[in-house]
Amino acid sequence: MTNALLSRTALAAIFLAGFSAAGSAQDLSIALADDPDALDPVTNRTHVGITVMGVMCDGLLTTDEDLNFVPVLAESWSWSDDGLALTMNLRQGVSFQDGSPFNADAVKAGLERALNQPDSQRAADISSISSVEAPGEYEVVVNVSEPSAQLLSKFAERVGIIFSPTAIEETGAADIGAAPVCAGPYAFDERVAQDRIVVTKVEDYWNADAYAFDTVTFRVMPDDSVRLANLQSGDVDIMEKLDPSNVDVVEQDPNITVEPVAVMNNQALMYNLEQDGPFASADVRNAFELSLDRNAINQVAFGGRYLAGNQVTPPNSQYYDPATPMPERDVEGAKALLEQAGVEMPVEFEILVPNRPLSVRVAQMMQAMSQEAGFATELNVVDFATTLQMTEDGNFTAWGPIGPQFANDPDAVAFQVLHSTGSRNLSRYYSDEMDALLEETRTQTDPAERVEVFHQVAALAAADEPVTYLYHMPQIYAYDSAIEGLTYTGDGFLRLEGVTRAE
Amino acid sequence: MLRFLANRVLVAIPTLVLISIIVFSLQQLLPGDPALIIGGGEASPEVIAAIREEYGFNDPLVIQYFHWIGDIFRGDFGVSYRTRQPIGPMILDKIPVTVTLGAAAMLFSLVIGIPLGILAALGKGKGWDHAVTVFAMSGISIPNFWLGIMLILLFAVKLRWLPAGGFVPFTEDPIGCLRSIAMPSVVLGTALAAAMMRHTRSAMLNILQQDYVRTARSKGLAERVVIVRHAFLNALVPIITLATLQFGTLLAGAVLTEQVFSIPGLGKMVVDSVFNREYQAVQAVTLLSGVAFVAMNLLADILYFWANPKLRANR
Repeated sequence: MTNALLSRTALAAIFLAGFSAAGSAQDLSIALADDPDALDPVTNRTHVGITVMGVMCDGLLTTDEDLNFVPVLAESWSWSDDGLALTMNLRQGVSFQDGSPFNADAVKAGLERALNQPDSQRAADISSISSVEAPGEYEVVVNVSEPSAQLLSKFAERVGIIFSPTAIEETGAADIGAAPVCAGPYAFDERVAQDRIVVTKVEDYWNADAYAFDTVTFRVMPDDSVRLANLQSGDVDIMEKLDPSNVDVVEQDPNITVEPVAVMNNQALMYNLEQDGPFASADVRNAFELSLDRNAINQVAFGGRYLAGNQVTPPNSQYYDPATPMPERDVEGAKALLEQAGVEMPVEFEILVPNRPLSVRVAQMMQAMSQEAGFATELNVVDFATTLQMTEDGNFTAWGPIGPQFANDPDAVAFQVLHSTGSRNLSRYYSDEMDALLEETRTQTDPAERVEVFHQVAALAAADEPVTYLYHMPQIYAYDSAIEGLTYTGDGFLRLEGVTRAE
Repeated sequence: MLRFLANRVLVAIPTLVLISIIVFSLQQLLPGDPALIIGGGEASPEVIAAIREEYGFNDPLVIQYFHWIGDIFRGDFGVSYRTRQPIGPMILDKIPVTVTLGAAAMLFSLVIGIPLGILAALGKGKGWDHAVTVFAMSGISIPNFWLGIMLILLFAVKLRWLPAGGFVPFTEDPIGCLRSIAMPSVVLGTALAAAMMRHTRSAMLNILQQDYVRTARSKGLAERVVIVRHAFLNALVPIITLATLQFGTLLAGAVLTEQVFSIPGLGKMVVDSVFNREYQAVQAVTLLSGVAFVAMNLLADILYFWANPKLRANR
């Protein structure tokens, strides 16, 4: 009898053990708002691509939520006295996900690929690099042609993600984005286009204990309400890009946590300075700015969840120039400026608007506000790809709201838009003074001095007004409240280290 | 029968060529330069020029067309320039998904639409008939998108009975598959069921007034036999036409339904590809849909032949 009882208990114990072991294979499911493009740090162009690669791969360094650099695969780094050589000491004993060793040669090859591959999207970011050397197995020296204040910020972003040279050789550089192999906690498993990407935990990863989930599944759900419904139903654990107007509703749900993460980005209206007409005058552009109530736009369009602002960086950033505060709405002041400019009233104005619901909402508010100040504002709403083409051709008066989505350094949001050689300078704003200032921000390696130069950039941009900055968007995540320990990089990407699911 | 078939296939060929030309030229009308999209807006003019060269965007349209058609005959649908994945296998992955969804929706529409149509015809003018007609009108008028979201809110968010989206292949997990397509097939099948019901009703009404039905009844046949064997079987011909012709509606509906339920089928692929200016993917799927549509028409002809003895007798 006792024997029978014992054996039955033993059986039950075995059964339960087996059951819990089977139940412990955990998947974390993340809903993405867009389908990522190639998962290759060299050719990638999308924000959402970094979200995925950021989970899979370790970079040389990363940033914390205050944009301080944090060592990852580069354990330490130092600049030479003349600021022309950066020495990085790499973490030892790290392997790529295909088993090949992560070392100085691999980093050298990775940086050279980012510099030289013809379709590299990173080459311009790191064009100051003149050569890369690997003097020791775990020591890399990066030589630059002039002191570079923003290079480390690039290493904390896509440039710092190094792919396995062995895998690149086998797969080919053109196709590695479909079968990525990097060094990091989760290895690429499968991808079903426009549906999902599955990554699997690397068991011999050096910090494996910090990652609780066996797999991470990214699911592509472009529609905001569909993404949210999947979170509410428990089909996904984390969603990105919660519509700000839904925040109030979702916060009522005790099972869901909403977390807006501040990001250095901006949304703005870009004017075409080369087009003849009233908007060639800075007075008219400033008058348009005065006609706007940015706080009201934030309240109405985004439920107050965004951050109104008038500069390239957000008001809570150290790079924000306190001497150039956001102007209050001043309809009379706007009319006076228009009179001073001597333009015919009402001022005809067409804004090219990408047909995203939130962008259209903002544009409609700008239309209504500016009409009171004497603008006859029309909206031309077309799909985003078409606006790219039209602005490239110079076939527009103003375009927006539009802007870079994220950055871990102000250079990334300022230079390309405001410098005369900038690839995103679609305003066609050519100012020697601005060019000189922006170049100085790149070579000024003293942080305090650099902040000062960025303040001058902001002041000059406000005076010339090639762009009217409108607001800054936090990256709003929502997740199942059972998920604990989520942290974010300084540019607003997910970090899964130490994340667990409460039972 | 063979001659009839051969005849139909021959007629289909110029149709297909025409479809391919239309598909190809419509794509060119889409605004937005694909080279700019591929370049991502941050590329230099040199890179853009290189992209144009690589993808043959500089060639005359006629040359581009023949390259495209030639590659397709070799089974090469090109490579997605966003994800670097080949398009052919991508489509192959998605066909079973949309076919499963379409078949389930069709089944739903037949199971709901035909019995309701017969009942409405039998009770013509009575309250029952009006109720079914109201159902049909609402079924046709309710937008897929709205119905989808409502079902998700009720069955996935509120009750948590069904997954809010995604797709599980039948071969992997039959129960999971049924759960994943339950709501989408109802959404996709509702309008179809309504149309099916209305057609069944009018076909039945028409036939129930025929002399032979009166004869059958006066012979003393049971009402059930009269309705099923004599009336319904003859009403089948227009219903078959409708069912096969609704194939196009199904595909169009799949575009929306797949979007709402995040189902990785052909419909979602088309939408996502249009927004990303994946010309080749859009062309491939559109062309395939055209081919499938022609094939369905051919199938309709054959089913006609089978269901209608008169047609057979005339040959």
